Amino acid sequence: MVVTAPFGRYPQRALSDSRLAQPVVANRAERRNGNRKRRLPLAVLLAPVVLVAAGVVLFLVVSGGNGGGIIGGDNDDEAAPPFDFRVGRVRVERVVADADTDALQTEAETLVTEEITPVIDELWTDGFLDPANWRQGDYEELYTLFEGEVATTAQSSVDVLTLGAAAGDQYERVTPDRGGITYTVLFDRDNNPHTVTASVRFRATAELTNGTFVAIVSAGQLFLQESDGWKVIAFDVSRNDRETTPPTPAPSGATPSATGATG
Amino acid sequence: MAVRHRSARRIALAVSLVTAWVVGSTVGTTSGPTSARAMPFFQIEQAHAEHVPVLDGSEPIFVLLIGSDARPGEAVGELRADSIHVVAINPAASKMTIVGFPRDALVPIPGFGTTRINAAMVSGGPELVLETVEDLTGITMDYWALTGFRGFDAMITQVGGLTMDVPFSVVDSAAEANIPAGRQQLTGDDALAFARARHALPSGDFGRSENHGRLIIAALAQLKREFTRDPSRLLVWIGAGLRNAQSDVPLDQLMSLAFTATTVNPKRVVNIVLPGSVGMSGTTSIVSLNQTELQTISHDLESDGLLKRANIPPSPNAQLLS
Repeated sequence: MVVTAPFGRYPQRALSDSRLAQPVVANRAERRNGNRKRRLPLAVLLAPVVLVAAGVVLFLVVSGGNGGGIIGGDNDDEAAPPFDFRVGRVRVERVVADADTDALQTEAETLVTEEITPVIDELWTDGFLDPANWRQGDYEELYTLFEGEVATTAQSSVDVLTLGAAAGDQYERVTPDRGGITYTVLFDRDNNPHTVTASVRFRATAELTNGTFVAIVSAGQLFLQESDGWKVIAFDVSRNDRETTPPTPAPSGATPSATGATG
Repeated sequence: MAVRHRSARRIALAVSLVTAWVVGSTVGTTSGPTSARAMPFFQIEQAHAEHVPVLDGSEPIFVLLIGSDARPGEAVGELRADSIHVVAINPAASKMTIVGFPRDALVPIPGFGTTRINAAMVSGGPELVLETVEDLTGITMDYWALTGFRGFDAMITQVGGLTMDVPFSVVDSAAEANIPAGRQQLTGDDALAFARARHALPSGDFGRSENHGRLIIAALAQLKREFTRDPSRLLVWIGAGLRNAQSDVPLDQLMSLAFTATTVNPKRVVNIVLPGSVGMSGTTSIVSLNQTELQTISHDLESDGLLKRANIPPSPNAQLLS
């Protein structure tokens, strides 16, 4: 059943593909005699074809083909496209009036680069880009990045914070276009980073199962605090998808990839 | 595929201490700027060590705001408390009630007999003002906050001024106020002048106390507006407040309070001043609070931080508003 999934998406092409069909022999008796006469040589001749076919099947099993995996019906082995947000302005807010603002600025930039941005990268990768998540509509690992009760609210906002619970039925592939973050870092009375706000903008192009394309546009603000790692304590995120044109075809010779884009 | 507009917002619970920091009211006259690094412009503390404020939204939050008569360079907590307000927040209803106390109200001050309420801070600092108000109302406060002229001015300046819809013109040379009616951007100095002006108001200090509430509402509205447009502005407000503040309140609590402030609808804030009658005691102006209304309002407010419509007294500035 699973194997049919890729073909099911392209039925005309699958049915019209005759490259592997054998030539039709009109006379049944002649076919029988011929088959008998050429039984051994034909088996030898067919061996490479069988091997190629087996290789194709094996590839589909391992890679999931165009989106329908065979093993367990999922796409656990389909990699998420590499994506990194671009970090823009980092603003510092302090509560100590005579704090060394230059030192805080340096510390803030190091913090967001080394600790905060990877969390945001993971949030959007888990939510929108990782096929292992969206094909199943399972984003459990994403919610671990939210603190306490906020995680519960995040789960109830699945259609905003992720590609959606039913994304596997709707989307064929998702390719990240770009993403940017600006930060504000609040330092506490001991000049330690206390709260970080991240203003996030993200855009990806998704191909739907019906062959059309939409731009996935996600934007919002996150408040993060450190609690066994930096986690989201509050968020205000919106998603505003819109129809878009298919991406420009890859240059001649290039192989289109569902997962090859970068931020 | 149809265009989709979806959003999700999860803001942790909170209150409006940020607002309080900015608009803690003041009265008196200004003088030139002084070096104020040595003393805080603003102080916010938990009201009782044994009473932990509940900030999860399940209970109302009560904050006592005290505006000191302290001029720049003077000790904020040792002079008269010429502006006293109880701010009650009902997070679940996204509502707030502001109750102003006339500074000349004759009230029992624990340990000091019956005298004007603004003398409580001279006798025992903000803690005695707190005890006095709690005895008077029967309401246990969660926090108290104190500021003076300089803190008030500085905090409004640091958040870029205050947009306010001034309901009537306020011209008062004693307060250096010349503020036309209408929506406008007030500087720290403008807001201070507006807060101090009372001679131009028919009801004097009652009207001024109500105007202090208007400043609180304006600050709340501005915080909410800025937060809606750019949530990171919350950190700017907190920074502006705390850079000039003294406080032992954990930053997490202050963050929570600030978040709560952003959930209050400024248009649904009830702003009242306790009713009373003006009189003289020798050469001193005094206010006798209407005890029946005091008890009714206090009892109503205590349960949920809200006032029933029937318990809301008329505006002391009604004459100017009509």
